[in-house]
Amino acid sequence: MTKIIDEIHREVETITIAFIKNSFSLDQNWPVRIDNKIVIGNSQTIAFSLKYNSYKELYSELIRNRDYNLKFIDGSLVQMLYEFDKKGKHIIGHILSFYPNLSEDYLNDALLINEDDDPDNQISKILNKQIIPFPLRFDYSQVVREKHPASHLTLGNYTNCRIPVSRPISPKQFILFILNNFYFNTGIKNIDKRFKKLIDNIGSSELSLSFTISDYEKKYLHIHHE
Amino acid sequence: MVEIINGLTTKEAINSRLKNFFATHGYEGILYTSYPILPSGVKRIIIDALWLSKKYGIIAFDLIQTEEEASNYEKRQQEIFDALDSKLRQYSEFKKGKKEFLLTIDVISFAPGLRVSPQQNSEYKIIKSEEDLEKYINSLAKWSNSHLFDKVHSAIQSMITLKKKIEERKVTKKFSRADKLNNLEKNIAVLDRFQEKAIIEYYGGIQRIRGLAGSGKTIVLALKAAYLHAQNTDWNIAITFYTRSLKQQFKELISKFFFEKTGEEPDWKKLKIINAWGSYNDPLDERGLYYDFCLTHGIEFLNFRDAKRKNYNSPFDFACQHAMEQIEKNKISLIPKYDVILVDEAQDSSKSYLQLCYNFLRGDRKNLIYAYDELQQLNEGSSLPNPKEFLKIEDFDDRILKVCYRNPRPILVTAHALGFGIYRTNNKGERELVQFFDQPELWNDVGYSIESGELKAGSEVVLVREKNTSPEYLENHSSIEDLIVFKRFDDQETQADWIANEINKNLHDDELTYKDIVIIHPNPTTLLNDVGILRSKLLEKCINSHIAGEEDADIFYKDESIAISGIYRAKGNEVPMVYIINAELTNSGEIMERGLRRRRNILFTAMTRSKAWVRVCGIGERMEGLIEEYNQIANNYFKLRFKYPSSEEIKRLNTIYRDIDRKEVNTKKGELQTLEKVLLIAQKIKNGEAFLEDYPEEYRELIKRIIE
Repeated sequence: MTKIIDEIHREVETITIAFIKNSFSLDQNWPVRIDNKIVIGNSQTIAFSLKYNSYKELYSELIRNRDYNLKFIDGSLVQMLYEFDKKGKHIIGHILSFYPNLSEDYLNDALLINEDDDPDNQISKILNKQIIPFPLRFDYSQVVREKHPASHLTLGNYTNCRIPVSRPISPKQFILFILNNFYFNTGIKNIDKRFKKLIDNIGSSELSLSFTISDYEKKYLHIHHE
Repeated sequence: MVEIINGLTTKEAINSRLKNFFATHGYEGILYTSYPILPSGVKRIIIDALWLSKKYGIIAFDLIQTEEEASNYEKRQQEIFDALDSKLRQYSEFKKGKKEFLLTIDVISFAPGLRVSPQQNSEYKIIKSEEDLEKYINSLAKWSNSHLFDKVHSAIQSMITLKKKIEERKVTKKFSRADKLNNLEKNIAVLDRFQEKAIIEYYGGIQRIRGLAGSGKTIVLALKAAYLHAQNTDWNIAITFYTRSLKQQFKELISKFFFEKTGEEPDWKKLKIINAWGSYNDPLDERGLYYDFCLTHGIEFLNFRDAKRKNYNSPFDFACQHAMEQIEKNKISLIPKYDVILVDEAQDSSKSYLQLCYNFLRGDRKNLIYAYDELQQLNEGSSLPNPKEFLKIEDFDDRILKVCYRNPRPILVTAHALGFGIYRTNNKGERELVQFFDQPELWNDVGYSIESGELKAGSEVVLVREKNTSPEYLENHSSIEDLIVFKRFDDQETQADWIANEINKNLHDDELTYKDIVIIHPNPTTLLNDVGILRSKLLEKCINSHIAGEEDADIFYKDESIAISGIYRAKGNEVPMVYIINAELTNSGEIMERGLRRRRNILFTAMTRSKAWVRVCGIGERMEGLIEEYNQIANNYFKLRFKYPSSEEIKRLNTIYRDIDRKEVNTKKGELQTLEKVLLIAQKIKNGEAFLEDYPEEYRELIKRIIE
């Protein structure tokens, strides 16, 4: 039986290759395995050190240190970090973060690179003025602290935002969640060919991780992932 | 002959006597006036004049105009000597062993108008006439270390310190590319006389500094700002730029130079390095100039998006014009803020921006200094009109930086030749330019000289670049076949294969670093689509790649990752090894041949990013055409040989190959399709598949004629 650590590792690799091949990442770092962890090539856990700094500072520090798995074409960042038990058979924690790029400068630049652009390309679709981008994070920790759901979703870095999630999330599940909800509406007819190829190349996750949600958490509004 | 470089002086009369002396006495070397500035204890001193001679070394002058000045000249001489001596002793190059100092420094006072004879002291010389000065100089001992002249010159310019400490590449093979680059970068940094004069010389008012990319405009402007700040600490000075990555560069150059000259940090409240445009993100006292102008005068500010929506082609020009119109319309009185404004990249910021700067300046004599790239857009020639026209001034000071220190000559000439289409044949098989500018004098300004013919309509002319405008050391390291490679491929796949292989070789066999290489794609709209294959091929070889900073312009290069760039981001960057992919795109227009001009400009910009080598890759027949053109250039020994076009021809070229925007492309495409359909109808009727009567009466006549 393949170990879960290998499967998760492979998922992150598949995602990285799909992003490069289809030019959806501007920059990327290869996932590496250190002991029982899967981390980013040059990870420095900046996000943790700057937990209480402003989002803007955090974002630019991540950029400067290339502390991310993927940098999307709009400058948004994705981190996928996992920790396993000694045998690599169980996930004991994960941090799956999405850091959007808030900089106004970027909006200018995006137009600059597309100077003679038709308005229908992907970048201009992302740059919609009525949108307020916000960071989001799926955290999982086997060591449960009081009233902290083991697997939860935090939106906009709100301190007490921990929306319970029924179980840990795999890399592919996470990435597809981001892409489908915040980038491309797969419901529309003229879905960009490249985007479709990206989704195809990523493929769906074959992992089925055990449920971790408690009965108490189930009482309130939560995210159920079948 | 002595090269004289005039700093800002308050001792005009005596200065001109000294200059006149050197201009007429047949000495060699360089004479600075009111330069350099040097730190001396806690204060700074401006040396009245300094003569740097191969024969005699350094002779500094203390110029005396009044009797009062004559009374304590010994003290001043001592200060000057100490300042020069301690500055120059900092450089290990000028020492031998532990103690021996290889330079000779002499300081004398020159007091030609003085009536009273001050006490003569044998150690502190005071010289009262030109005759005595000549006698004195001729009595001096010869400087025995004149081989150090260039280095001393560089030290006086502070260039030794300013030269970026470039990390030497690790070299294990002699003559590998990395070895060649290390040697190239070891060249002594010395400003040429055009640059040096442009930095030091300024008589107030408008000064225009022109030059090609790589001619040193940015360093000239930075040092000029620092020099003005050192001399006039109470002035409000702004230096503005358009490309964000320039900010850090300016800051570094100015601080280092200023520190060299004064021993202090610049006062950033007085000397501001600010963006030309600006936004509400700017720190309070570093507001972009246009943004600040709007806030100061209480007028509407347009950001990039708003301006672009209102004027697609030149948003910044529009925004500044809009500002000036509001000032005029509402009769707002101007609130000047600066004593000097220095504008870099004026070609990107337009003439109305310069007008706006002009109106933000204090005093009657507006001190506006601007630098621009002469041929950023090849067809426009000088991209800005004469300041006499748009600033309504009587006179201005014009400087040209003729020498290009970035590109090897063959690369620069090829870029020009392809940009103008000098050796191009059109689809009728005739030779035809793509674009041209009708300003004959400009060719000389940008560093070409006429080998034969005349710059007149109808004349067969041959233009060459010589080593005085394109230094030989830039090209001597490699053969021409290695400096420039043009390569045609059948498809994206084989193109990607070749480039990935070459880059792999560059990194391993050639010992280049990731930061030495850039891949440029000419079309921003299809870049993301086109580079996917190449990136995955690189990945197969374990070479990471990134698409260079759209969102963070300051981080263009990365360790351990190859930069891929669109053309707009590549602007302002220089790299030893440049790969241009899908170059065939620059040999065809958007629709028919419209827009070819702009695409050739892109090719020009992409090629001129290269400091050493360029690889132009492309696909299919269009690429073949480009290669054919390159072969012609090479066969003509990198000279521009062409028939100088008449103004009618230039006008015609500008129509056929003019720029075209997306909307126009779509309209044109629609129209062409309609035309095809009309022909189809005619064909149908001809074949008896349809009848003329099937169509509305008003069109029948037209259809009939088409059939005929």
